[in-house]
Amino acid sequence: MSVHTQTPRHRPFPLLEFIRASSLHVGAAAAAAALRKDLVETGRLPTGEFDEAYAVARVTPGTNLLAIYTLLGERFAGWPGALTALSVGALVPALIAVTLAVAYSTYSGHPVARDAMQGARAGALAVFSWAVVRLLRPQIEQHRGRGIALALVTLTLALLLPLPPFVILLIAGGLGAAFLSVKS
Amino acid sequence: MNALVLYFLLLRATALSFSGFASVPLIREDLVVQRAVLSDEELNSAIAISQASPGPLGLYVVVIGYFVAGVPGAFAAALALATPAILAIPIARAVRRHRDAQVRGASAAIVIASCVLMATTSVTLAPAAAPTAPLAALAVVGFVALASGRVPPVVVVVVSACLGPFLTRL
Repeated sequence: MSVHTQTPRHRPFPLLEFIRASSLHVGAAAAAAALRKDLVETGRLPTGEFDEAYAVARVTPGTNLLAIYTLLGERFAGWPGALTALSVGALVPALIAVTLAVAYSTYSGHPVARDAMQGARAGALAVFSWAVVRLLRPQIEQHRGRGIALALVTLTLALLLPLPPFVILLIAGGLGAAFLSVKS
Repeated sequence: MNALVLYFLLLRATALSFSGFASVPLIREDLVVQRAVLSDEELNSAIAISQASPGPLGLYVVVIGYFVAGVPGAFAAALALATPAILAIPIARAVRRHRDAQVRGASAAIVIASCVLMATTSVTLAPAAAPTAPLAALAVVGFVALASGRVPPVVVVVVSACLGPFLTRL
């Protein structure tokens, strides 16, 4: 993985594209695909710069999509662009989510709304469980024996020792830096 | 709960995760188990609501912020969600200096460990999310639909919400 080192060029900042990606698409994959279409396929950003932002975002803690917004914003307008893109990427969907949460809180006493949310929770459990498989599979395919060993160590720590989850993740991170380091 | 305390709790969870839902086990430990300011039912609801909203998967954190501390809590949560992304720029610079091997190894390990913690959390959340056999069946069907690769998560959540009033009466 290598990253372009040139300073950001003077290009028009794609504010509308960031707003559109953050307000119309569910999940990182859909939003990233929309940004690629709007920025790369229109010739406003080289493919390499987009791909590198995507790759670096994958190893950045937190939400990958917000890291993509930050890095793409930086490519267009340096730190101010990064912070603007990050703000748009976080606050626009947050506003929509809070609106839905307020609606839920307002109508949660209604029997139909309550039952609908119970159904939605069962659906969300499916989404959450599928996310485990979707995230774990490529890591195990890449790291095989070491990846499986690390998963078993984590499971043992989680089930047998009263360690907080963040301590388990820190231990895993240290083990990964030592044993899973892969040059790309 | 004070919004500033909530910000730091959520920041610790988001900064130690590499995908939207990977922070669920940490947030559950802090807010449901340790401080009892959130219930498993609200945690499940937050995940469901975020799935019906555009934006990153981790957006459920904002709904949790709202449930715990109202609008200031939601704002604190949005900040906690956004703060780790700032690290992307120094990480990109580290990558330029070809120090990405350890960064990639650590992040891969944290993803693997997060998945294991998510799996155990999923088992813990199941009784509140699918308390009856019909709802458990709905969750299983939703999982199979997602595994087929043809149905997006938002469709699973919306269809489940539509079926909820019928299935809860069975």
